[in-house]
Amino acid sequence: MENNFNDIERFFNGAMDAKETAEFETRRANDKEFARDFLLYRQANEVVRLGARQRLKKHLDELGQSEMAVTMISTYGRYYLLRKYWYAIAATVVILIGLGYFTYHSIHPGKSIPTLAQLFDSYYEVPKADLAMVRGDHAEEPLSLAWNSAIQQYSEGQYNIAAEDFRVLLANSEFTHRSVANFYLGICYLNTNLPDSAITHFSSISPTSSLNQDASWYLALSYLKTNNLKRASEVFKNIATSKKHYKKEQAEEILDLLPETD
Amino acid sequence: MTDQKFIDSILTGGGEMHKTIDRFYHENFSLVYQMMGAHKLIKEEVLDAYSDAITAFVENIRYQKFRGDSKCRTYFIRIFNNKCIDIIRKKTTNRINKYTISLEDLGTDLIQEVVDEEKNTGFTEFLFQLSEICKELLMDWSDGYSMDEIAVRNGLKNAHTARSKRYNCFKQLMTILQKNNIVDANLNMISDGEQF
Repeated sequence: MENNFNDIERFFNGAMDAKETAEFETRRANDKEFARDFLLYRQANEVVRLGARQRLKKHLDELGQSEMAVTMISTYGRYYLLRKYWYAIAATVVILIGLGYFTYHSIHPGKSIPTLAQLFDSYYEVPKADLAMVRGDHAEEPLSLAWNSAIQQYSEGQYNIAAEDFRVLLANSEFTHRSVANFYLGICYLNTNLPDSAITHFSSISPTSSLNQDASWYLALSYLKTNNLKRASEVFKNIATSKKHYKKEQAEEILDLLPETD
Repeated sequence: MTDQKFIDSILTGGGEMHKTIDRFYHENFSLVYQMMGAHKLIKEEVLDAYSDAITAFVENIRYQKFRGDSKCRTYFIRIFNNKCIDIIRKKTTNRINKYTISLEDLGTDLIQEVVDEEKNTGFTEFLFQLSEICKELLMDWSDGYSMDEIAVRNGLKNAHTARSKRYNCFKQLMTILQKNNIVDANLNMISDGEQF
């Protein structure tokens, strides 16, 4: 086998010339032992080749795992950066919107939506009562004295006392200025934070009274104070649609500011 | 790298061949994702097919089955695609779409190669009966490393020592094969008229 090995190796390495190759082939055909050694060498060569192939395959498999890991890391990195980047964009957008909102409302401060109480405070004014004083021949009569006293207290801002005086007058069946008394009593109640009572008295004023427009205006304001959006809107709408109401424009302003009702 | 340079590097063998293979592996790795998408295969399967295809491609160059008649990449893609189709065929649940090449299109040579490969893979168990250094040394030699390279890679004194070690190791392997009657079985095949 020793000698055969060298010859066979030379054959496989292509180190033989034509003559040697021919002699080699003849020997292989006739010498069974030589043929076996030849085959053995070839088979061993094949086994080594297959082993090397498996080793290469294993190496490439490992390369694949690391390549995939790199790809995953780079993909993760990309997504991570992208996500980080988008968070930064989102944060910038939020900040810009916030700044824009702040700037816009700094320039246009009047567009904020007020509460009903704020609207009431903005539009409510205590009506003066100087002209309601009774003058002339009847000024010394008891009812006239009581009336003038009530108006006096009212003018001085003594609303609780004035309210008591108005209630006494209204309880007297002989008292004739009922609509006026109801109106100022309603104002007294508004000033003493009793808007429900004010509503009762404003509602009882006769539609034919000269104070009818004032009564509807203060009735609407009273509803604002009681936070009754629906009723306030109804009364303000009546004022706004009324052709000659002296508070028509203000009613329209308020209706623009009030939230929509069903 | 041109195709000719690539082929030359593979034929040179050894370290240069392995560097070229590694580079080729990385340069064409995007094909793995393409095949995953095209054949709806999972990553592990395609990776296996990819490394298998490169191994086969390199062997075809080394053993002159590929002579550069088509572009290296085109030829490789064909092999890789066929490997992927083999996986699909093994998976009964996978339906083969109209773009999948039929087994007939592969040609008989390739089919025969697959059969031989499977039959021969079992023989490597004899190689693993050798010592670690023998095994590695013989595989290095098979891969075309020079004796100097083999000596360095396996911690041997010099090329002469490597050559003598290679001789002994190879003889050990032949003895193992002889003991296992591997050659007798093949001899019988010769007497039955089969060529080797």
